Formats: sequence, structure tokens, C-alpha cells
Amino acid sequence: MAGYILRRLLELIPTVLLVLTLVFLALRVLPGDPAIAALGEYATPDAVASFRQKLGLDQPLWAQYLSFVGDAVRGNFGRSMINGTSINALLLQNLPYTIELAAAATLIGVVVGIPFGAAAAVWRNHAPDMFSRVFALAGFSIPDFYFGVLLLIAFSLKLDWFPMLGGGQGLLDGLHHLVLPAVTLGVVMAAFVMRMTRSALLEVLRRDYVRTARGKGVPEQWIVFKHALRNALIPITTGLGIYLLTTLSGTITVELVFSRPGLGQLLIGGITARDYTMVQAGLVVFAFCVVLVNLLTDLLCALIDPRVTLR
Amino acid sequence: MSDMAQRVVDPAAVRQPRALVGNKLTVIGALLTMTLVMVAVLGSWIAPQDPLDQSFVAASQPPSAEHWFGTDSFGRDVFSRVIIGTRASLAIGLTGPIIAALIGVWAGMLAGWFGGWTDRLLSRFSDLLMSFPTLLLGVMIAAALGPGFQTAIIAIAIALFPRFLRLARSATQVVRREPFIDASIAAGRGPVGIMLRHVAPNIAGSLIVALSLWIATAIRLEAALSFLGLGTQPPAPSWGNMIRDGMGDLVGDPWPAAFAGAAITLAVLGFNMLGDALRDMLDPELDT
Amino acid sequence: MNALLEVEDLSVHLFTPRGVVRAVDGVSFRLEAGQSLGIVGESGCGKTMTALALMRLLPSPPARIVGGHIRFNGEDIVDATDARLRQLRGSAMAMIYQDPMTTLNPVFSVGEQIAEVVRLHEHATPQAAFARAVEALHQVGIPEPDRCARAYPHQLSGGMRQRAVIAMALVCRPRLLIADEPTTALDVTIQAQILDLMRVLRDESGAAIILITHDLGVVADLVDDVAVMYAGSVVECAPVADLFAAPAHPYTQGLLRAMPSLERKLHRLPTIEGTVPSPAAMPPGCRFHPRCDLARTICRDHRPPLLGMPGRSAACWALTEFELSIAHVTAA
Repeated sequence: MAGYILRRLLELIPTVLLVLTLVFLALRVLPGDPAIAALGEYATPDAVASFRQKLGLDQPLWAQYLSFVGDAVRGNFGRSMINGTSINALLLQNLPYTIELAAAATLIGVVVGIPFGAAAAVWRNHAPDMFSRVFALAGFSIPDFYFGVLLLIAFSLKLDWFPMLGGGQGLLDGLHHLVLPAVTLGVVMAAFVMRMTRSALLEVLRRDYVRTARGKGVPEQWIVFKHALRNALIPITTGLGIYLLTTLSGTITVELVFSRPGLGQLLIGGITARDYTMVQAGLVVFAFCVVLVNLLTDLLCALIDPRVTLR
Repeated sequence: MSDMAQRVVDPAAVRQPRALVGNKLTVIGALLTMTLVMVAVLGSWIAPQDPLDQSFVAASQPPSAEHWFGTDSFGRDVFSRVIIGTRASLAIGLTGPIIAALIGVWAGMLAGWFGGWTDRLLSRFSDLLMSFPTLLLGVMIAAALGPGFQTAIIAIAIALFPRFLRLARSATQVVRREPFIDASIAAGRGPVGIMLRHVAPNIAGSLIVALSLWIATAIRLEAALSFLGLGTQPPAPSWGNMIRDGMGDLVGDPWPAAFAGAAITLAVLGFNMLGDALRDMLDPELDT
Repeated sequence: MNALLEVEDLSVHLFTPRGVVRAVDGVSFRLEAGQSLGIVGESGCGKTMTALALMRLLPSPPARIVGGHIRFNGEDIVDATDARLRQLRGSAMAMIYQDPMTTLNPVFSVGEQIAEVVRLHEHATPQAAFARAVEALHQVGIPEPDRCARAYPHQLSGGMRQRAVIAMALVCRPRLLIADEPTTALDVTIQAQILDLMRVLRDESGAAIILITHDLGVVADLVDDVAVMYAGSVVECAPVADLFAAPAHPYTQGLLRAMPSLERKLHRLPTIEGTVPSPAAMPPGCRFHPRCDLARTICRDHRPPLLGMPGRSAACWALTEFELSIAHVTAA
């Protein structure tokens, strides 16, 4: 296991480089000019030149690439071009909100999705399964931010159970502010988890070792929750990792809906304010999150599946 | 199920409820999507009012006989805006995936046909893109190109083309190994001709299913980008930016956001159902 | 004497979207305590379905028992409750399956999986159950049973896995052991080892054994009686020596002729002409008649019942009871 973790960590290096390259390509090589984007189309040539110099955009591409990767890896994101605040400080302030939102949503998705998905598989083509089909179709079709708007209208504006704006102060208030955004992303995630659990479990319940367990006299509920689910968790975890990334990107829109501080707000704020360094930092951090989630998924799979470590 | 001894064919026992459900879904999905396309094409004739016409007297009204979906904070008719918004949403939602399919299928065929470093390079690149959620890619591209209509299309095309690449690549690899391909080569047909003749028909079915499902994703993605202010720019209406506008006065007038969101949901639902139904028909073994 | 297992007119149908398949069609046989029975037939003849039906492990849907009785110790398994079935399975009756690669759960260690049987049926502590698992692995001839018990299935070879499956079946000392083609998925050398093990266990465990196989050679020195199945039905039942000495049913005769033998030197083994009828196009009358040299008019229209005495019978119109009894005497 330790060897496996070490190997995965080593494999992280090329992945991080690739992901950084992607961000670099998007920002520097795609035909948008950051100077024009930041200063507007009517900027004087002098202003453009000094802007380029300040950001090192006048240097050859490979030098830009090296300093970009170096800064990103060291976590040195510079200062906001709009108000000069340290971006690292802003990240430190905002990142916890995004992480707690994604984590809470995942918790809801798993806690709701897996039992309901298991029920749908066990009572296939009966009421729980029909419910899961409808729920899934709705969950796949409603955009998460629109679902957030509906929750906001119903539970904040009409019923006044939950606060409308912001991230809250302190633990209790923070949790109070977290409920609606987390439910927004969590319910949509639950639809996905439920469908995935259902099909993974149906697949596993067909396997020979389930018959073996039945032949040993194992009670049916143990067969589902011990023998089958433990195996189904392997594909479920992989799928969960992929969907966690969707949820992570979903925080961008949901943070906007609930005026909640977070990485998405920084990034979108940066794009609208043409704050080049901020955008760069936001994208790099998001990219790091993607890599990190992929790594965690793989490690979790290795923990569940005894066959992984030997491969 | 290796042990079977006797099968009595009993026509009464030949019931396939899945096929029936599939047919119903197809009809509903097809109806929804056709209605959408009609609304987009005929929008100007259906819309009762000019979607850009402002009126401070009639601002922020709830639904009424005159304004079926109410009015927004500028007094614009929400019903007309939803109808005209169909155009932007559908135009982007269809164009993006179609461009993605055109590029992706060709790149996938190239990768599958030539193998070697062409394949490795293309596959590695598409794997990298696919490890990112589509919305994040969209935001990244919007950050580079600046917000706008074209940005949304390009973002969607880039986010989705790896999926088509994969599909075409594996199909090409399978066909490449068939003996009749060697005969085709011997007969002097070039790779392009062979792909058009042998590969393209093979993937047509799964391509249609994938296209339908990814159009659903694209519509949602366009809505999200416009909601973030990175897609269709105001005052031109799109469902996403209508929700964005509506957020300003959710307390006084929740109707624009509510109706625009309902339109997105219905559109995505339509294409999802159509895709599911098509998959049931074209690939009956699959049960998801 | 009361039989340990008495199967009477058992029928299993598969309800598929394309029609009903009669996988097992009126099968009867009996097995005394401590005795062993071989069920032999080509693939597709319904023998695995019969075996699964005995423990009510049929995949449902599509399979369902539609008629008949399975009396185990006088108790009818066909209408036993799920709770009762759970009590019996693993403790009174146990099964060894065809493919050891897929019958073990990949995410639990071999020891845990064997210990689970003990914990379910004997309310042992986890430690005691695990110790029993190690002991059972030792009994089936696994060197270093401690290490094997802690190993996961993918870390063991096919032969070792099948030994573990056998250990799992025997750990609670069942009175009936059903082995469904226990060697088909294994290499030839491993097959011989597993059969040797089965032979030892037959003598030591005291369990009655049903051995299901397509290979007459496998049953020859392992079981007391043989039931030959063809197209969902038993066509002949006999003590193993009688069957080899004087097969009564033309199908059994064909099977025996198709077996390689040391004495006969033939360049080509004779085969039975034709193929097993497709389930969709089952011939009327005797199911074997299209492939049978002795077929008469009656064979085309009427199905022959099992004729003869219990323990020595065949379903064929070409045989009279007189011929059967002669066959019995000459073999004895």
C-alpha cells in the first residue's frame, strides 16, 4: 500500500505539469490578448507595452512558461491587478468555503444516493426503482444553479428558514448558510450517485460470488450490504470521483446564486474585472483541485479493492 | 445460463415492457425537442411582444393575461424573452456539439487508423481535457477569449470533442482489424474513402445517441456560462442570462428567473429523453 | 429406508422474453445418506439447473421451479421458507461450483469467507470461526493454511481457490454436498488432484455427494450410482458398475462408445450422430429419437417413461422390463 501511494504521488508530477500546461495554453496561446483583455480595446500602445512588461508577457514563450510553472508550483500567485491585494491571502480566505461546500454536497450525495440506489437495485422495476428513474431524469435535466434559485425562492424568500446571502460567521451561522447551497449541489449529485449505485449493484448481484454467499445461508440484506455493495463500491467510487469534479465546478455557479464567498467568486470576479493574475491563480487552483480529487479517488479505490495494490 | 433444454415459443409470453416505455419516452422526447426547434425557428412570429421593449410602467409584474410569464425589472415581456431566448440557447447548444462531433470524429478516426504517436498524442490530449469538468473548461476558455456568443460555442466544442474522439477512435480500431479492410486497401481505396465507407456507418448509431445526450449537456453548459455572464451578452435574451438578470430582484420579481430556468430544464429533459430512448432502440442490451 | 434426498418429478422452467424454456422436465432420483450419485450429461441437458434447484439457488428471474418435490430428510425444499433455506444452506447442504475464479468474493480474504459460514451456523466468535477456517483449509490439503486464510482470492491459483471453495462447503460438515462440475475450469493436472481430494473427502466426511459432470470418466470411480440426463430429463439410472458394464439406454451406450479407452485402439472415436436438439425445436415423443439407431414409430409420438426398478431404470421404448432385469443380472 505504501509503495502504491508513493508511485501514485510520483505519477502526480507529470499530471500536474500537463494540467498547468493546459492552463498556460488557454491563457497565453489562445488568440486572446491578455493586455487588450485587461485594458480594453482602446488602450494606448504605451499602456499595453508597460502592462506586458509588468506581467512578463514580453518575454519569449518558453521563459513565460517556466516562470508560470515555477510560480504555480511554489504557490506564488502575486497580487491582484485591480486592487493589489495578495492573491494568496484571498485564496486562503475563500478556498475553505468552496471546500466545505463541495464536501457537504458530496456527503449529501453519498448519504442519499447510495441507499436509494441500493433500494432501486434490490426492488428493480418496483416503486423505489421507478422513483429513482424519475428522480434521476429530473436531476440530470435541472441545472444545479436553477435548482439553487428555486430553493432560494422557496426556503429563503418565502419561508425565511435560511439566510439568503454570504457564507456566515462562526460555526453555527456558517452551517446555517451552508445548508441550501449544499442541498442544491448534493441533491443533483444524489441523482447521479443513485443511478450509478443501481447499475453497479445490479451488475454485481449477477455475479457468481453472490450465489456463493446465498449458498452459504447468508441473509439477503447482508448479501446486498456486505457482499455486493462492497464490490459495487469500486465502480461507485470511481464514478463519484468524476462527479465530484462536476460538483466542484458546480460551486462556481452556486456560489454566485447564494452570493457565497469562494474560489468560483474569485475566478468569475477576476474574469469580469479583467484581473489577469487573479484569473490565472483561480484556474491554477481549480486545476490542482482536479488533480487532487483524481488522486484521492485512486487511493480510495485501492483501499476498497485488494486487487489494486498488486497491479 | 448454459443449461437450457426446451423452449416453447409462446407468443403471449413475448412481452417487452422496456420497448413500450422506450416508445413512450421517444415520443415525449421527440415532441419536446421538435417543439423547441419550432419555437426557435418561428420565435419572432410566436413572441407576442418585442423582447427588448422596455417599459418602466409595466416593470416587475407577475403573470397576467397580457404578460403570460410576467415582466422583468425593465418591464420586458418574459414570455417573449423566453421564446426568443430559445434561439440563443439552441443555436449554441446545437452548434457546439456538432462542431465537437465533426472535429472529434475525424480526429478519432485518424488516431484509430494510424495508431502510433498520432494516436498517443491525440489520446493523451483528450484524456487531459476529459479530466476537467466541462463547466471548468468553459470558464477557462471564456477567461482566455473574453465573454460572448462565439466563446460559448468554442468552449462547448472544446469541452465535448474528446468524447466524440474516443467514440470514433475505438470504432475505427475495431474496423481496422477486419479482413475486408485489407481487401479495400488492396482495391486501391485510400484511408479517407475507407473511413467514409466502413467506419462512418458503423458509428452512426452511437454517434446519434451521443450527440443527443451531449446536446443536453451543451444546453445546460450554455445556460451556466450565460448565467455567469460569460456567454450570451445582454440585452440579447438567453435563458441563462435571464436568470442572471432575475437574480437582481428575486424578492420582488422571481418570475423571469423561474420561467427561464423551467425552459432550460424542459429543453435538457427533452434531449435527455430522446437520447435515452434512442439508446434503448439502437442498443437494446444496454441497461443503465 | 428413508432416503436423505428424494427428487420427484422436478421441473424447472426459464421464463425468458422470447418464450418459456423447459430446462428441467420431470426429473426424479434418490440418494441415501452417505451414498454418492453422479449426474452425467452434455452441456445444456439441465444438470446444472437441477443442482441449483436442489439448494433453491436458481437464478430468478428467469428460472423457477414449476413442479415436483425435493425431499431432504423428508422435508420438502420446494416450499421451504427463506429462513429455513438459510438454515439449511451451508450447514446441512453445501455446494461446490464450476468456476473457482468467480465463485469467491474478490474483496474478502479466503479465511473470512470460510469463517462466515461458521459464524452464520454455529454462532462462533470471529476468532474461533477463523481458526475453524484455517483448519478446514488444512483438511483440503492446502500447505500453509494460515497464510492462505489471510490471502485474497486473486492471490491464489485456480486449484488453490477450488480447494478453498471445497473447504468452505465442508467446514460445517454438511450431510449433502453438491459438486457442480468442480474440475471443468481447471488444468488437467489440477483436475486429477481435485478428484483425488473429492475421493478422500467422500470417505472421510460422511457426506452424501452429488457429482455433476459431463465426463463419464470422472464419475467412474467416484460415485455409487449414476443418473444420465438428456434434454432436461433423466434417461437412465444405474449403479455405476452396471452402467459401464451394460448401458441400457441408446444414449448412454453412445456416450460410453465415445469415451477413449485403453483396450480399444481406434483411430477415431465414434460420436453420436446429430446434436442436442435446440430448446426452441424440441422433437415430439422421445427427445433422443432423431439421433437414435433403434428409433421406432412409437418413439416419434410418445415419450417413454423411466422403466425398471428403483436404482436401475431407463427411459426407452426399445427396452422391455425383461431386458432391463437381464442387464441387471449380467452386470452383477
